[in-house]
Amino acid sequence: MRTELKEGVALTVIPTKQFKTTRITINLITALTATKQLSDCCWEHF
Amino acid sequence: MLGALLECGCQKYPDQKAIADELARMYGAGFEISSVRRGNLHFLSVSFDCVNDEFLAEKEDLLQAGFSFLQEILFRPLVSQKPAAFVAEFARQKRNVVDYAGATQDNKQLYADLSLQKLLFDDEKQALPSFGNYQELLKITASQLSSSYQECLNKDRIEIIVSGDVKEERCRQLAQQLPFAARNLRKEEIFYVQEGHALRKKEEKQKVTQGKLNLGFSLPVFFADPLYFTVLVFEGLFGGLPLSKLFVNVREKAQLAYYASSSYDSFRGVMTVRTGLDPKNKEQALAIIEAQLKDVQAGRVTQQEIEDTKKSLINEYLSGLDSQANVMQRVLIAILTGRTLSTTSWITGIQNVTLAQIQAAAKMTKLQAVYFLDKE
Repeated sequence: MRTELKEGVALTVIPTKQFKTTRITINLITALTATKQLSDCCWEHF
Repeated sequence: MLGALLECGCQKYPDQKAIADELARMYGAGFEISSVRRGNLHFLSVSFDCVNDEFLAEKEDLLQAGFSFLQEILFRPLVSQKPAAFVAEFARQKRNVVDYAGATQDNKQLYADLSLQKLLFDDEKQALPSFGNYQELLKITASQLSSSYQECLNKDRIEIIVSGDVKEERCRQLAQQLPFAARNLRKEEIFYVQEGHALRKKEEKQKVTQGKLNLGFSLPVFFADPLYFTVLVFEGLFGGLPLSKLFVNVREKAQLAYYASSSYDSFRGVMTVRTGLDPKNKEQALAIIEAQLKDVQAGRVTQQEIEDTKKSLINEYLSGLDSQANVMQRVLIAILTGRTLSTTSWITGIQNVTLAQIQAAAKMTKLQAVYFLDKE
């Protein structure tokens, strides 16, 4: 079940007895951005 | 670098020993931070896991303790202190990350993978290694990193996922206490779609004993698309599994490569082939790889091969359900793509794939890039 706590912040709970552990993951998700600087950078190291 | 810095301490637990002590106090809880790229998106994932309260001899609220721990890590990190206060830790972590990036020069398999990636993709965000670039890493300053982190905390999309024998309302109460501010999000597309381009080839010579021949194909089918299951079976049959044509025919029978396999990226719509070989076998290996693909396109595949591939894929999927982290990942992908695949639909989807569909998927592949690392 997913609920939006605030705009852009959501919680999904997966209640299950399958596992003996409880796991919490906080994902910070962003669109990739690149700069002119990156395109100009030296590629010899890769 | 942010992940590395966040993982090594915060203001309350200022070093890795303090973190380890706190995790031990919580009955051997676990904590990890990972960063990964999927299609157009970048994920910084902070995870905590602990034994369920009902298995404890003494009553304790580890769910609350877990949320409090993550709050300390995220909202009172060393990164947010004045640069002078964490400059030593910053320097140490920067050295680690820069050393790792520099070491890719020595890991020729990874070097070849990254070189193919650079050749294959037009968009520099896809062409760059997901861990960044050596030159750019060198330039990062403590204050830049601190600003970047604040931007992440204030602007990134936040998806919190909790799995276990927990009550939803309790999780909601605890998650609401995390001081994330509301934020405006733009609709971001996770799938990266690249227009096809003419075949690109690159050869390099270095002091290596083993050559690397990597191929990049466009395969414009994405996660949970109508042809998704067909592509999974095709790619498993072609090179993705240990019983695949690449493994059996290129590596085992012809003995042309030390390793030969393929992988499919369902967020970028590409399939890559990687081989390690004696450089003098390059042309022969290329020919036999192409022959394997043509065989699938022409339907020269036995029913047994198809059934074995389907069984392997289904077994792999089902064993993945035994991992809590894996199940949570699948839920996250479903949230981000808006595409949910139940276990039943996944298994049925694989089982229903026909030879004609596999041939059609094989014909959708288009060779876009060939990278060869030769010995001097």
